[in-house]
Amino acid sequence: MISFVLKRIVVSVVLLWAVATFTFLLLQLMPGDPAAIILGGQGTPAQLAHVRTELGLNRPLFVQYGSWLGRVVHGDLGHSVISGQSVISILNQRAPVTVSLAVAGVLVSLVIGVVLGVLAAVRGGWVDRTVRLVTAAGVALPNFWLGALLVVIFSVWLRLLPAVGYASFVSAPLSWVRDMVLPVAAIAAASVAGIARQTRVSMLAALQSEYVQTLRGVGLPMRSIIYKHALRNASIPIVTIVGLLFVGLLGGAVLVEQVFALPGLGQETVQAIANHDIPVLQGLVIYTTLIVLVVNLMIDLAYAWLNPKVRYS
Amino acid sequence: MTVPVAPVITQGPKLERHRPMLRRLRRPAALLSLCWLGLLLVASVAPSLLTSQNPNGQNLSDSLQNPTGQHLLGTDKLGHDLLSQLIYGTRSVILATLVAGFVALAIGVPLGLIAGYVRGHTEAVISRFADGLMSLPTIIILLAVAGILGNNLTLVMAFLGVILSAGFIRLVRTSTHAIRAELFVDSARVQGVSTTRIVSRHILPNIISPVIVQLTFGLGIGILAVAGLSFLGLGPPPPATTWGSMVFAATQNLSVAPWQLVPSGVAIALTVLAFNFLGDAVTDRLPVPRRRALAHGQKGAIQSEEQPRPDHGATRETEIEVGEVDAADPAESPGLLEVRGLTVTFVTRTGESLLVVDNVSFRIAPGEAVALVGESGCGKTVTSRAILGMLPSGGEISRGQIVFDGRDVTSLSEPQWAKVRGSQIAYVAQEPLVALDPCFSVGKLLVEALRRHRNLSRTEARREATGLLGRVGIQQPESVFNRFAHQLSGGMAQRVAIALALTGSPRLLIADEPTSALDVTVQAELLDLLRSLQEETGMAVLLISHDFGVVADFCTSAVVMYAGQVVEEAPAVELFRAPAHPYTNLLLSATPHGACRDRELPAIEGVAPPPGQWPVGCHFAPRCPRAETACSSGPVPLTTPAEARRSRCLFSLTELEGRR
Repeated sequence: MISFVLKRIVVSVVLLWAVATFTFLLLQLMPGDPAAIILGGQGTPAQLAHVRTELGLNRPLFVQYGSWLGRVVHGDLGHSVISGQSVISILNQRAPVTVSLAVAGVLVSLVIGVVLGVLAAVRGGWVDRTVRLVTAAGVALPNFWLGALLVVIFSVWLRLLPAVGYASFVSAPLSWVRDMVLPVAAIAAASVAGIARQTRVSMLAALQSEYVQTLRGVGLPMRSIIYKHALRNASIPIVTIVGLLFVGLLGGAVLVEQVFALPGLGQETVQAIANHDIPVLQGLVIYTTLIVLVVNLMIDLAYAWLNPKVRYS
Repeated sequence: MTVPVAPVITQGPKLERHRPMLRRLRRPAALLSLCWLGLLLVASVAPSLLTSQNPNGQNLSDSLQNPTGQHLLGTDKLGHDLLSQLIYGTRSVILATLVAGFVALAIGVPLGLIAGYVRGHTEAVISRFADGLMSLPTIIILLAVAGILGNNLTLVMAFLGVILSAGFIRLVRTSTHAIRAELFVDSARVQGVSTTRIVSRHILPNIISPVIVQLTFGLGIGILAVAGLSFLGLGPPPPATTWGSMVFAATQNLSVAPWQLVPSGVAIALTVLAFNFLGDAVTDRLPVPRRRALAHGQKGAIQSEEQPRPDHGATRETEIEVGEVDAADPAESPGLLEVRGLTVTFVTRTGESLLVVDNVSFRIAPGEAVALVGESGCGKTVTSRAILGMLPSGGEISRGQIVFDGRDVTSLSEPQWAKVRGSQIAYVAQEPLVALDPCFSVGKLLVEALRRHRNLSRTEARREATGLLGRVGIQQPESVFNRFAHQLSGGMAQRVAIALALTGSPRLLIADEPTSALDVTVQAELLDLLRSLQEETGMAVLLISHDFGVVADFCTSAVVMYAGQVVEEAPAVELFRAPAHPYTNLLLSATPHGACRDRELPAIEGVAPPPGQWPVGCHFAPRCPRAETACSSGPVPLTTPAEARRSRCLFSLTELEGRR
């Protein structure tokens, strides 16, 4: 168990290093003079020189890489070339919106997806067909479009929920919930579908397994066999896909923030792209990768805890 | 770009079923998908064929219209015709998506092949690479690439292709593994066929179809990604419009003109659906007969209460025999279990009903050990599952009765069965290691079962469980109590399974080949255990086996099944001394440690015919050394060649005489 966790941590660190290096190289691959692009082609020589220093472009590649990586390791992701604010503080300020959106998405998808998947597997027949149809649609609808559709239905027509706005979860949890219903619904459609599909398949496999025959032979009621034993076994493969879904939800959050005008990482990204704010873009990649890796690590732990074969080895 | 279509994790890689791909594409969903994609292709290549409108033709007086005769899908704020915008926007979407798909293929397939074929260190490195790609924040990376390298959709989608290649690497690697393990690849290697040739001739053809499926899902993700990027303004530069930018334009006028959302959103969703449906069609997810029986065991039972039993054409034979069975033992006292004319049919994929167990009758007296013998596929397991009320889905008792302790249990509902099982009839499966729930410790399983049958507190149940483990011969019950299935040896797991079966103090234990998955020495120990438990508890045992050695050790009488029918029934001693049926005789000779060591035949030639292919006459006739024309002319009835014996052979008497 401990070696399993250590191995995962090492892999995560290596991956983070690879992604950081990738963002560094991305800057080198930038066509033309980055400083000129950042300044929109109108900088004075002094401004250009300043940006070059900020990006470290005037030093040999190796030296640049070394000092850049050194700063990254210490949590220094540079400064925005537009506002001069440190990238890490910008991201720290923006991340809660996006991350809370994605985490809420995970929880909602787990609950609804597992219920749908179990129903489909256990009931079969028309329930199964309906669930499969709904999940097929859930995967196919673009989340930003679904978000807009929900705004039309629930904000414009029914006037039930706000179309835009954001309240912090910490200071105003109720408003947060109200503001997040639609965005979460928009991004979770696809992951609900993903979880439901996985749950259905895993439950079917579990219900066909030999141990279920044994438990039936022992005389346990179907209730216990389905909801205690089969579901417990099915939860292992379900947990393994949550990591993938989290990545998707994070991406979904970035897009859906545009629809709902949420001040999260997505908006920051779009602004940074428009402004050619390269340090912010580089920082974003490293920062979100770190978030994803931490979440994946937690999922690995959950997996190990759920699976006795890993837990007791 | 939304959630990547998560790979649904199933049991191991699926090998290609050989079914022509073209035929699978004839399903309606697949056909419609192909039509839609064909339309998109035309729109990409020659958009002017599909619309005469100019996508950039502004007409401010036509601003934000709903569909009209002139503008079939309405107009946007500047009066652009939405249909023509959709059509002219197709090319960039499709091209960008294909770029991602192509890059993913070009990277994923070779790396997957190398990983799966070379294995070892290389495989580990490649797999890590794939795992890493899968756990990246895809959309953020794509946005950063777009932001830093400039607004170049092709380049960004190529990066998406790199990330998507992870799925191909995984898929191709596992498929290659599976195929590499096949015999024909081994023999090709032994014959010195070069690696390239093995890969191109044997492996590639077999992975094409799963790769196509993966590609369709990848393309679906690609469509969503292109739409997402152009929604954020990272698509082709204006004035070109594309589906994503149309959605963005629509979001600017949501409250005034919600219709604006529809055309572009529907186009994106339909295209993703089309790719996914195509993938589904290629995977050949035909309506597989679903194992619903588990939750719906009751369903079949309810049906038979209403008696709409399908007539499967089991004929006069049945009727004659039911009479005969009844007449054969009129005076005997009622047994603990009486199986009377049990007939089980299965509904196949194609909807036909297939006779699997044909008119099987036997009885078990209290405390008796009876063997159900025969080669695999003869209906022994199905018979035993029917007695437990646990027929797999599609299976149904279409005729006959199961009477347990004087009570007709044939048509109990699932909850009623759950009360019978465990406390009256219990079950021990063949493969002990997969027969125990891997997620629960031995102790938890035992405690749950004990508390189901008896009103015990947790502590009492715990004590009881440890005692039970001791009774089934486990040396350190306390330590085994906390172990999980994967920490047990086969023999120990089977002891635990027996302990589980004993939790409800059943009066009949059905043991389906309880020892055949175990080592020979462990086999003997377990049989000893079963025998002593039987003596101790007085329970009856139905032992299913293909091994006469086991039967001789343990059972007082034996029922021999062949191709769904009982072919012989006799007290065990009699059966070994003088089998009345040629099949029994051959089985006995084929048992190395059986009663007849002097015979030479190691096995019976040929195989038992599967259900649906049974001959009209004697089922065994095609393999029988003494078959005559009469054997094949019509059904052979069970006869009573001697007292307490039954045999389904025209020559039972002569067979018996010859051996006495």
